[in-house]
Amino acid sequence: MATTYKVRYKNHCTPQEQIASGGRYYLDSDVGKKLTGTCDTDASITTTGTYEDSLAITSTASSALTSSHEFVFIKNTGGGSGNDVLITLNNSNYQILLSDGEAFASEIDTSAVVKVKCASSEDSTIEYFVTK
Amino acid sequence: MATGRRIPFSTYVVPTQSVEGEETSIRHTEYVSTVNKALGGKGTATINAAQWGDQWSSATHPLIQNWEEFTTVNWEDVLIHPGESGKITVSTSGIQLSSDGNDCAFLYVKNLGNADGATYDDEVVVSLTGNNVNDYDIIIPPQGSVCLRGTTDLECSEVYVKCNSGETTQVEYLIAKRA
Repeated sequence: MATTYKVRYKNHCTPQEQIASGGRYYLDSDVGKKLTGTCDTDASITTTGTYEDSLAITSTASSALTSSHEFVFIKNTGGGSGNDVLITLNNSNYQILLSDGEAFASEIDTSAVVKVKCASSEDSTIEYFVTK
Repeated sequence: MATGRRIPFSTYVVPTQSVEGEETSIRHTEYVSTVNKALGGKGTATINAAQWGDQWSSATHPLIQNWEEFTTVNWEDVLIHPGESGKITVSTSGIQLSSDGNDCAFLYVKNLGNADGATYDDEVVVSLTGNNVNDYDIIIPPQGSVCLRGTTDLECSEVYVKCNSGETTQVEYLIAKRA
């Protein structure tokens, strides 16, 4: 049997609230718990994927991640600038924001058109991994 | 009333390949050769201390006992059926998680399907641009989740979730407006 591929991924968050200005943050009492989801990709992945640890990003949209992928991981590695990176999944609406050190990981529809850019006059670098 | 709210979040990814041994029925799993390591990132989203309503979180703290705490949901919906609190059922019709028109600072959606004792094992799809059939670009497998920070181009009211044709599952979510 041929080599098979799978991506296991986890997205986790801990909502917190502060009751007095300048005070400590505690687990948000509206939510009452930490939130985590862990899974394997549902899609049948047939390649090793494409990985790059430092792709330069400017205010011109990068098309490096565009073509029909099943899974995408993008991390803003900053490149020393500390600038934010913006992501679109539909080639037009840049709706996902990554600050330095933050990452986005999700299984995506193969029709999604993923592009990455910075705001006007800014630059950064990203680490990414995509599979199809 | 809270004076501040924030959401530390993290992402962890392990790309793997399963390779057969000399005896082909024996396989082992290792990092995929192109990456050869685990990937991840973390950050903190600052959200508005006064959220757009009680439904910004599908969850309810298990110790809340005062119906006065709820102003925009029916307290009996979350207290009488504590086992159901925190879940919404999703099928093939798109569900708008919030009608609020403010910018979305943070979004978290988890597919609760396929947990112990769960009835559902289908995928959830998420749209960030309204209930248009071609815009459901994010896929969440059972027990998976997605979290993201929104730019000023993402409004809370633009986020929809649904299942593919003939499928049903349950989700929990956070959808928080910008500070």
